[in-house]
Amino acid sequence: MNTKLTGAKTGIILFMAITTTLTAIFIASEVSIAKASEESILSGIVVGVETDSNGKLIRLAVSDSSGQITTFEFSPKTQFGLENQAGDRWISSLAENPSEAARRLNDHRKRFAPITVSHANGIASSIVERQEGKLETNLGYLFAVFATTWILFFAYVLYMGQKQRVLQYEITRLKNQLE
Amino acid sequence: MNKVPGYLDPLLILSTALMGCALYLIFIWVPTETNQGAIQRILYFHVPIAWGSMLGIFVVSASSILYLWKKDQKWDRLAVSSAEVGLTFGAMMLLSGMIWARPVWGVWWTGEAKLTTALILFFIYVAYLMFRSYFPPGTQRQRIAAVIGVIGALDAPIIYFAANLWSQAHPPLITGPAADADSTLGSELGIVLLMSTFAFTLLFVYMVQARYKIRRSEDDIVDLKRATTTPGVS
Amino acid sequence: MTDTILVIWAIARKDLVLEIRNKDVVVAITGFALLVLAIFTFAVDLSQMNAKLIGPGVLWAAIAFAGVTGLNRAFASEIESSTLEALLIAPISRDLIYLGKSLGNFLFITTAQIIVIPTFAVLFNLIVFRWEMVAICMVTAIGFSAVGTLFAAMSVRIRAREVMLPLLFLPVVTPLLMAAVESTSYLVNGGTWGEMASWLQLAIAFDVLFIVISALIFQNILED
Repeated sequence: MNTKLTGAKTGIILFMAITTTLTAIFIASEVSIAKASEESILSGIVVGVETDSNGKLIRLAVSDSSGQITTFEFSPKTQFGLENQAGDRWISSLAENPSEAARRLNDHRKRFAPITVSHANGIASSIVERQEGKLETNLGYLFAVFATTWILFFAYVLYMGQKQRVLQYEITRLKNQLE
Repeated sequence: MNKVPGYLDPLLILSTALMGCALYLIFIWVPTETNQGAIQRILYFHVPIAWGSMLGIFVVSASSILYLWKKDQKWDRLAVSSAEVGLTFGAMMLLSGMIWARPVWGVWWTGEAKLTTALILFFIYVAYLMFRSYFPPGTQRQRIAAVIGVIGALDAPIIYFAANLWSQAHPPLITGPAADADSTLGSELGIVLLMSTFAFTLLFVYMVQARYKIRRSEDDIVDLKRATTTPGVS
Repeated sequence: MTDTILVIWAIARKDLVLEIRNKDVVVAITGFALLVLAIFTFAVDLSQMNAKLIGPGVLWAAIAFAGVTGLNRAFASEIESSTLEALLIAPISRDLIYLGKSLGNFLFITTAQIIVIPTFAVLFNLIVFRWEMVAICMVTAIGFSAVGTLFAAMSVRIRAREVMLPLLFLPVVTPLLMAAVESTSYLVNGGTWGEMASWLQLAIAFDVLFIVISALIFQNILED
């Protein structure tokens, strides 16, 4: 008689177990990647952009919040994700459009717009608009989405199971009454 | 009577299994997208849910038309079931979209055409379900509800067109979201999205048929009550 | 053909005669809309810049909300005096009943607009007396009455119809509302026909679609 509810409950337990496990594994691995990887991240403002006579980028100097200046070199694979003042984001790699990369970096230097550089061995692998928050806060948003949507799902499925059980009870009662 | 225990429902087992696969792909298999970071993984959740809510609207309008044409109870049951499930998906779509927009666009909400359309359609189907709960039961309720279901679907393209025109006239402060930019993921994104969409579609079907059974039980009760109050009819 | 027009006019005229006697609907719409406008004059700062920016939105929001309160009356009075049955027994097809009732509602909304819009022009210090405004008012009133009559007929048997009608009506007319607000915005900023053309086209398409669809499905609503 209450098979529906059992079904819903089993489903919920399965889903919850899978989601929780996977989210936990994911967060753990994400944190360990961040720790273990060769890459490190630096946020700050552009203080100098060095180009050769053709306008090709050679070096970039970034000042972090403590005022320390770090210089980076580029590789053709260096990724860019930079916005102009209007907020239009330009995404490309150095090899695709080196002059635009230089122009955007100079634009950031003039506007004191902060950027985030991922780098390894003094070579920048990606230069993007400064991240709104830290990695952990973004994971918080990700977790919030999963938590709210699954809670809504489960609440709805539970509600349906409950309703079906009540209706089944009512049907049996009425049938008995008829006999 | 259904003798098979509910948890052995093949649809439930299949959708749970697929959901597990999809979650594995979303969290473990696919690499993190570089422009947005971990938050981009919401996409694999948000898009299939949005698809589910659109499917809901489509099923509501299609079965409403079939009800008006054939006057068969089952189409009305299907319409109300998929409206309710579609609305649940719609609420989740709006929530997940807002939570994604906050870190990526910097705002919870903006007057973008797709967002406006989704919100207004959400309200139309809220009205649809409210109407059903307010109106005294009977065939007239089913007919009028079917009319609302059809009108909601007819209005959708006009709303989208108007919202598009409107958002062009009011360029939002935050433009060029990273989402519009080329993703650094190629075919992987497609695979995960496809898998996830498939899993959520099955979940949608499972939920609709569960809701459909409830609706049928409710109708059975009405019939049984009529039978118990008028002896000799059963 | 003339018969059809005569039937539609007869139904609309019946509503008009009633309206002239007790002035229910027009007073409700006008009073409500004027009140909303008056409240907004002190709820927001109305400098010349602001008025142009928010004025059109306030005007059409006021008319939409006021229109809903008026439309509630369109069928409620038929129920109260039990004349709906008489209307249904009459040997006329349901789509003509729909068109007649919408014509009546259109005239009520238009009358209300004739009072509300000059008041709006005065309160917000905006120049709106142009032919473009007449066109905007017409298409909006047609759309409001087309959708509103259909939904009023739907929710007439619900006890909570005062709640139900706006919930159904407002989301569905959103495209029309956007069109009215945007073209009025162009108008108060001195725009031309060309600038508001796409919005007016959208509004006309909306009107035509809803008149046709509503007339076609109206029999499903009043059938008993």
